[in-house]
Amino acid sequence: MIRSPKPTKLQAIMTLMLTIGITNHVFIIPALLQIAKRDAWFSVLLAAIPFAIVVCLIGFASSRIGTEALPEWIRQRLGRFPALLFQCVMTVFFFATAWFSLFDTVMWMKVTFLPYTPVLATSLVLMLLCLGGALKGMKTIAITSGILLPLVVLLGFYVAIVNVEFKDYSLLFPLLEQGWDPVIRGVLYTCSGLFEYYFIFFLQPYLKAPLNKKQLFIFAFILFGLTLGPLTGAIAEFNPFEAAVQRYPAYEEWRIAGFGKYVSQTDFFSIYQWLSGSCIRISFALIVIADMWRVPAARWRPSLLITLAVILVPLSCYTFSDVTFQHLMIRYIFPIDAYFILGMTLILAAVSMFRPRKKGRST
Amino acid sequence: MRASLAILVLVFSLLLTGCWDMKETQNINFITALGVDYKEGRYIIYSQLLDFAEIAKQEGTVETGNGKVWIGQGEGRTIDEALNSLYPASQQRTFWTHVRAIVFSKALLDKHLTEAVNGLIQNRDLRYTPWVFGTYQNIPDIFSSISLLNESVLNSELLDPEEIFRQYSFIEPIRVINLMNGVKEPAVTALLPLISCTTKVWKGEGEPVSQVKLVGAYAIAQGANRGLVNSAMLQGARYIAFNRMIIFPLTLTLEDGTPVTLSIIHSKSDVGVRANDEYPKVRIQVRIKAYITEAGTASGVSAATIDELAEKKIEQDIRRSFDAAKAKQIDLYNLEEKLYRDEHARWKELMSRGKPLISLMELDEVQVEMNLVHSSSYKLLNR
Repeated sequence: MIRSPKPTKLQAIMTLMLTIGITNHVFIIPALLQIAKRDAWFSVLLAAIPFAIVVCLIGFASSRIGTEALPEWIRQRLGRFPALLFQCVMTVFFFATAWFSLFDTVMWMKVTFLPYTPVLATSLVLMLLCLGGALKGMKTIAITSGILLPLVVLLGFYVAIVNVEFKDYSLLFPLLEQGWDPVIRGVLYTCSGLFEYYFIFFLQPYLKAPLNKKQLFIFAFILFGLTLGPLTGAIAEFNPFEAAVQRYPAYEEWRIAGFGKYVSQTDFFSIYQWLSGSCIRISFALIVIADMWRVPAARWRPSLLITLAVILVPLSCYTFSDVTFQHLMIRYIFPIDAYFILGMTLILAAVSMFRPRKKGRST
Repeated sequence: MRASLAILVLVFSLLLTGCWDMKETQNINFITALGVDYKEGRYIIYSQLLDFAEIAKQEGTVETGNGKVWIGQGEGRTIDEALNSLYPASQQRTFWTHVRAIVFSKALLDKHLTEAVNGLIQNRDLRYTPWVFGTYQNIPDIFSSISLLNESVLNSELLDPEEIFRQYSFIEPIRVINLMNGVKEPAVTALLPLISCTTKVWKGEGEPVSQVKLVGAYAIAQGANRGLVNSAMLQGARYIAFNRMIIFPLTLTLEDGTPVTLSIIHSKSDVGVRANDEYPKVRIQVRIKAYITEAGTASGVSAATIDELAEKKIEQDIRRSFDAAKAKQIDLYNLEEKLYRDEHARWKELMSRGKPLISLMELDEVQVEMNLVHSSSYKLLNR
């Protein structure tokens, strides 16, 4: 399934930047602004502490795990049952990841660019694209990321720069107007985005060698910056009270971007950014699920992927309204996500301390 | 494999023909300006519609006759209801994404600005980028005043105030996004340019032609209109409250009575509020760059004299504007914002007294540092 040559480390980081970046750059921002308002950016700064700890834990665990697939690695250390449990839990997790990403993307298209197009049409097309990527495997996704990401980054800088005329960073103050409570709650939401850093565990099996300390650190730093950028932008441009009621603050930043007298609207570029992110993210989630369950049966992998895709399309169209979705995400999903990943990282780090039961090589 | 791929691509192209959201530009009414009024519990929307031929000034053909401007009117209990009430008689699809200016009537500004702005933005078609104005005149009058020589109406001050601001920075034009701070931030005052039309300046073929003109500003704070800022009050605000000041004339009177005109081309202010006393004391430092545009018959006057006179005049203007605004309880220089951001605890305490904060403030020290850059085409004595 994994054909050589394997993706390079740069491609791996680019894949993760798209996969995780869209959460930190887009999905998490409305929640964070709603919870912590003006202090949201301070929450992100404070979140650096738990994030740094988690990054160290992940770095430690990943140096022990190397490029081994996680279920196999757990089976060697803890036995069959924990490995199976892990597979089930992670399948649910990544399935939910794909579901929510697809839902948010399709809904965003409905609200902004295609109000008259049925969600089924957009969902179907996007899902087919992701399915194509997933069928081809992680290598393809990594190469695609290498092509997609540079322009995504370039456009990000574009929107940051042309919007300078609207930015007034004095709006970031005063701090702690409502006390510490919203700030601390904001830290939890920031973490739920940043902790997705642990996706690294699921990408490394596809690489020749695990990422080294320097690469891990640089990637963590990029992720942190990705969260801070559009968040401070939204506060400085719109003021926190306006930004807190916006459904898509990151996209609103695109809506004001233009240059000169004759080019007043350039928000269509955001479609490219958003779709790059969510497409890679959904494909990534599907691939992780598919490669976790290795069954020797013929055509097992494509059948599994197609089944998942067939389930995801109606789920993303007909399950709940966007209002319910927002409520669920902010009230339950994001906080649970943060605790879940933290727990999982702690377990993996703890297991890393032990030697494998069976005789095997451990790096 | 290849055949199935080809079929797949063909199937996708079927989707394209559907294009639920395709719109053809010739079938769309593009609204260029929007007016919002409020009367007896109902929002009234005025929309300015332009002919496509008017938007792009065509080469070769000379347009004759008046520029074509159509004005639609709708009303409703909410903004969206009012917008919708325009549709039945609009023949084609109406588009709001290209609205370039929004004019609010005084009646609306006094009571329902927050609701109106929220309604306009939530309605997803409008952006944060249109220019915003206030007016006490009839909005249709403002929309029907056209540009000079029947040029494209897009070249009017209403739809493109930036051009005139670059030649005459009377009041800084702002967009919806800037107005938002005055609507939602707790201690900010935004100056909303006041637009009106005048027939006194231009005549076309002997007949007076109505043209729009910015005549002052409304001070908008916490979503409410705090009152009119007239041109005398703007005189001081220009140096302190404006984010940008490109060029504005200043006429001084020399000791012998001859007038001298300068052009102020740069102003940077530093405002400090000392709040430990009973009454917060305000200290203002302004650095100004200017050049002399007309010294007229004032021969023998030196740059140093003009420099000194200008500093005195500007200090006077700043003090006068402050006093005039304070008398109307308008926080013209955004002093409250300064306290709110820098000394939050003190701000809260002062706010708890229940009085408008500006009425407690005292203007203590004003320092003006004038830098005369050049004297245009004529020479001038240094000392």
